[in-house]
Amino acid sequence: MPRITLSAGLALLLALTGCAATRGGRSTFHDPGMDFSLVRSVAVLPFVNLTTAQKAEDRVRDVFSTMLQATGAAYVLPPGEVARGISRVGLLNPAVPTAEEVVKLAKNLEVDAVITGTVREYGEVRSASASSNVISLSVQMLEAQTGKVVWSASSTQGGIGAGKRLFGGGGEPMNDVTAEAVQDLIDRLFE
Amino acid sequence: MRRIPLGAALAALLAMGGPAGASDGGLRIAVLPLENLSGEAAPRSEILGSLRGRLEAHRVPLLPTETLERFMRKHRMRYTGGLARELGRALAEETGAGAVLVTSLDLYQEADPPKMALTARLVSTGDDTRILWMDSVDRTGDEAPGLLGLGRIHDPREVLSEVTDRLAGSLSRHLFGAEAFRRRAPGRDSGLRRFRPRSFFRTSRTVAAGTGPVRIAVLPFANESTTKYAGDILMLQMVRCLSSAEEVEVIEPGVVREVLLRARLIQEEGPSLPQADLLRLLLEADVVLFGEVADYVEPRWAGLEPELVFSARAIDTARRQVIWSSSSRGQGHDRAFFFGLGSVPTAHGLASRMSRALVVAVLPSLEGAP
Repeated sequence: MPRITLSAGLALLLALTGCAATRGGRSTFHDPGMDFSLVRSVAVLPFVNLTTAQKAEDRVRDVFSTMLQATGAAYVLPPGEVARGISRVGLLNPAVPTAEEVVKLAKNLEVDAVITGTVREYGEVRSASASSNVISLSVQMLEAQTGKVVWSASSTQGGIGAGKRLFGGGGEPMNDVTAEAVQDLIDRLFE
Repeated sequence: MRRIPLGAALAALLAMGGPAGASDGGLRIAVLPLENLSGEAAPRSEILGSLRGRLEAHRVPLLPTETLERFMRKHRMRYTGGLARELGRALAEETGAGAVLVTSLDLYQEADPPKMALTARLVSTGDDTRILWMDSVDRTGDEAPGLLGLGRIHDPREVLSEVTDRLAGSLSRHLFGAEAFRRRAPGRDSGLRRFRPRSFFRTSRTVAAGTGPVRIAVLPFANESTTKYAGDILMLQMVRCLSSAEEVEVIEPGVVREVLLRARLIQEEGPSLPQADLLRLLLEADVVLFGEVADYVEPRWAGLEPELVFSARAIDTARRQVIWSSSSRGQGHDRAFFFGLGSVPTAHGLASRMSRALVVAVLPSLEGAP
């Protein structure tokens, strides 16, 4: 058996505890039959908020819309126009539309796809003397012709890593963590 | 409505000797009561009195307070955060005031360190209600402590005096031609880099404005922050930065408010495209700008950091399309140097700088055809 020195063993232990930090939590689905270059305009619907942070869904939706628009890859409808479409079509629960509702809404708004999302975690987490901001969200793209899900992804960013767990301290501001998570999702949309 | 260059409008007001009613034939400015956006109880009369005193010291001709109060009682004028068209016409006819000074108190704190921020604009009366000048000044008692803290200010009256003096001086320099208010926007100013939007989209196509500069209607920003009037404060900063650019003409916020109320336009998430069409019709607006403030934190005691997070979008009303969208966020100590050099002590200061950086970024898309 090869000898493992004490220092090498400690280094390995630290690396393994680092892997246990909450970061990533990624999963992505791309419909293989979908040609994403045909998606030129999208409507971002209100997100679902499963957290206790008030208005977290509005903040994340706003960041997602502006960052998606900033890529220049697709035109994002202004939120007021999306709200008008939701009202005209009469969606009962705009955050979780059915496939038929997506088709009707997309036709009304003249968009190629509709995006929905769910905020699962948003806010501060604490562990002993350490605290940090964490966000976890998932987003789906539903195409306009059939209302089917053609892309979905989830991302978790922030949290307390090994360093903070050992030495304490705070983390990044919530808005920066949110932007990181959204950027992660957008990067995977264009993969 | 035929468009008249702003410089010509101000020159005409100064040259024509004022409308009938002005006793010495000169331009008189009606100073409206302060609009308190600080969310704190503040001595508005004292602040307004100080501002009037400074204006008079700078030889700015003012309409007597009693004349204005009589007019406000007669017309039941309660809103002092802007000037609607009809009131502007009536003010010119009945009092002889050639312009109105609209002032808002954006920040006020008496406790040590004292803090204060004022934003003011000069709006013409008569048939053409438009912004002639606008400026914003903020000061905190601890922003320039100097060696051994000898430069700290502990007396709120001293902060008040400095703020009102700087604002009055700015207006005076503009009125007497020493400084032009409207000028071509600066290029990519390296000093603004740290305040630029974190994500930003701007269309490559310029707005078609017809004859004259691009007309922009800035709607009140939605406010999701815990600061009561953050949306209004940010809206005013955007109006200030845009109105100083000669490429654009910003519609007076009082006129925009009047149209929104009369048309019963409620835009909880921003205007829809038909609402933008209506604003184009009623205001002759080429661009409608709106946004949302997510966080606006004004530190009330030492150790806390100011923070501002907002997003903004603009719709080209002719093409019915979003022409820019941006997301900005910043904290007071972002990229500050040792001993706090370069830090921004207030959220108001952040709003001013971040709005300026955003306007510099979007102006190329607003250079409409002459």
